[in-house]
Amino acid sequence: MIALIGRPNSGKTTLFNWLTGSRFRAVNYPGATVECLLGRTHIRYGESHAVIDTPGIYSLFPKSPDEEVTLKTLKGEYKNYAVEKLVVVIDATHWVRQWPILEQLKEAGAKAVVALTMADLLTDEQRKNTVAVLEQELGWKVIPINGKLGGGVQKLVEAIRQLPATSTFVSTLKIWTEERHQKSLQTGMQLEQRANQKPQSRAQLAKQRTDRLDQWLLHPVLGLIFFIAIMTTLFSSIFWLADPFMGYVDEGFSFLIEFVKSFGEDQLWVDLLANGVLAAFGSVLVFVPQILILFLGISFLEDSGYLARAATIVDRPFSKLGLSGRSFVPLLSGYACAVPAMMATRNISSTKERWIAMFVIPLMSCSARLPVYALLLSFLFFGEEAWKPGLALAVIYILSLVVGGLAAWVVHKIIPRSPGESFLMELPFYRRPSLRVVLATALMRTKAYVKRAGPIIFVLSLVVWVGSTFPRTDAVSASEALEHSFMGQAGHYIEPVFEPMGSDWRVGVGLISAFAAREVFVSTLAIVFNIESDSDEGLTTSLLEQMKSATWPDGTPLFNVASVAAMIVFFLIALQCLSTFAMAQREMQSWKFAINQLVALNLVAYILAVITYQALSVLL
Amino acid sequence: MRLVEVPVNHPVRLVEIEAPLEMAHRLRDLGFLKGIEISIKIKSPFSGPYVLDVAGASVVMRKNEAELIVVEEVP
Repeated sequence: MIALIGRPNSGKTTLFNWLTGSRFRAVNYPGATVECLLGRTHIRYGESHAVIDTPGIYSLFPKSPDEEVTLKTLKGEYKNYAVEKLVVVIDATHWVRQWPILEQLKEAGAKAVVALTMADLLTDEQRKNTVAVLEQELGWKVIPINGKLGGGVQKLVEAIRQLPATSTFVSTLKIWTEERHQKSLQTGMQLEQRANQKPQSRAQLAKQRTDRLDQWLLHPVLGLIFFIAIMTTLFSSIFWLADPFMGYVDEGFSFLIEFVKSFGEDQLWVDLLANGVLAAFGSVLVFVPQILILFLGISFLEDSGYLARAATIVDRPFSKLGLSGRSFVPLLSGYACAVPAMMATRNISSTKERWIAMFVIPLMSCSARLPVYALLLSFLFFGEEAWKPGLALAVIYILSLVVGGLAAWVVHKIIPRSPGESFLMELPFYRRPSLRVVLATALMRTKAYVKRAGPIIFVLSLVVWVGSTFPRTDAVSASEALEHSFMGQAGHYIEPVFEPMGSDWRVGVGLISAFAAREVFVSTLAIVFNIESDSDEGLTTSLLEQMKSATWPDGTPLFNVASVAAMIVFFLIALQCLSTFAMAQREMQSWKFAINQLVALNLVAYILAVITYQALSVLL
Repeated sequence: MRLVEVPVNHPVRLVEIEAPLEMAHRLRDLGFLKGIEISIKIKSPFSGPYVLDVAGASVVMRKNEAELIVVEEVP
């Protein structure tokens, strides 16, 4: 396998695109969950080889977890991704700062080919001189690559073929002292002078374009306006763009359920498949379009270079909470799903900041909460104009930000300072995002979400269905049968816990099952309230009808403004997600952190939900 | 003179970094090297971060980090 290594934004991914003819998939390193791209060289370059695009590194002395992954790859520690040949990707317009890494690789005894990207931004003479100087100093082949046209890739592949295959590239490397590094950078500068290559001409143009855009997008006042406009567009597009697709998914499942029911509704397997499994999956998968669109938006902004600017804009307010601009991307991803968001905290170098970010990520309104809010809000605003639930949802999103901010501030005040608190970052040039990369990453993240949620939903839908169907009695009404089922009996024991927040045992079962994954709440309610989707209005509408007619034993309505508001408050704060809990433990290497987080968030959620219900019951 | 005192769009030359080792390393990785030319492109409002031009690359840093960087006028 061939590995591409280089600094972040060195044009590694563009080169990877050319090498593989844009046919690749995004994968996770085994046990390291850092995303990277895996593909094969295109057949137009002859015999095909596997290629891997590693996370960007600044030096062979890693300072963040994802840099470590690259070093481990070079050491040959990943048996599944055994690298045999190495391509060092160097940005031709900034190569002095990348010289130390070349020198470190050489010192470690590695043999490699250098791909000089963005070579089209140099003049012919500069390019020739740079290649000559680097080849002479390194003794490695240096191939200029034209990032726009893909020129030079054929030559690069030939040079790679001539490299001898090895298994380890870095075995022993003495840590560089400050002086050693300074010396290396000076060597780089001297070499640059020898190559007579200052960033000029076309490189200058790309830089000027970036500088001009930054004058607008990072402007003290306008920058903020652009930021708010871009974020508003991103979040509102989740709703209006996804709407038709959600309709298709809903209709598809309704059709499937009808089809299954046509085999005879009194048969047990039909009931299991239609009212158990399909109803559960349908009520959750309907939100996949929203999740995909959010991931697409984030990947698009990431690839264009804007997210680094957004991080710069939020750095000041974040610094008051013990965070920095570096936490922006993880927290933003938290609005899609906490699991990849927690992975994204890996490039935060300060231990304290990473701690705070990890703690508040589950408070960001993730997409698994969407099905829950959507259901509860359509109940609250049943039959009213569409903008009302929309506005309420916006308020919930902002509330989650406020609660997250408060939590960060509290944690910031509690835990001691740690070294490394800073905000130092290189801003990439703006560029047109590669649609292929944006699509591949968004699809990969969405797929990972479905894969994680899928088995949980399946197993729980079975458990809930069995619990609510057996033991079979000859009860006349469905609700009476449920009352006598296993789940009904167990539910009565837990009812006292949920009563103070206005929920009976049926909702309690929903809330408990939601600890596996939040969206399971909706699918559980769908089974517990035994929806009969005879109408063609879809699953959600029939569930709403059931909720409207549900009552306490004394006949008072079960779902009212107070109890539904209490549920919303509960979902806003509670950490109900097995995957998040597991990820927190794995990322922090600490059961203590994961358990503390789980207990703290759920306890606060419960207390606030009870207060909300009691207060609203008195007021209304 | 410290980098914080330098006005926007006024090129200066880096003399020394008086930062803790860890931060000094990060700065070095980003190209902060004795003798290199730096200019401040944007100062964010409310003492927010600075956007710098470091030998042709854009780098963001906080105000308190800019206090650790000693610079001199370009002769």
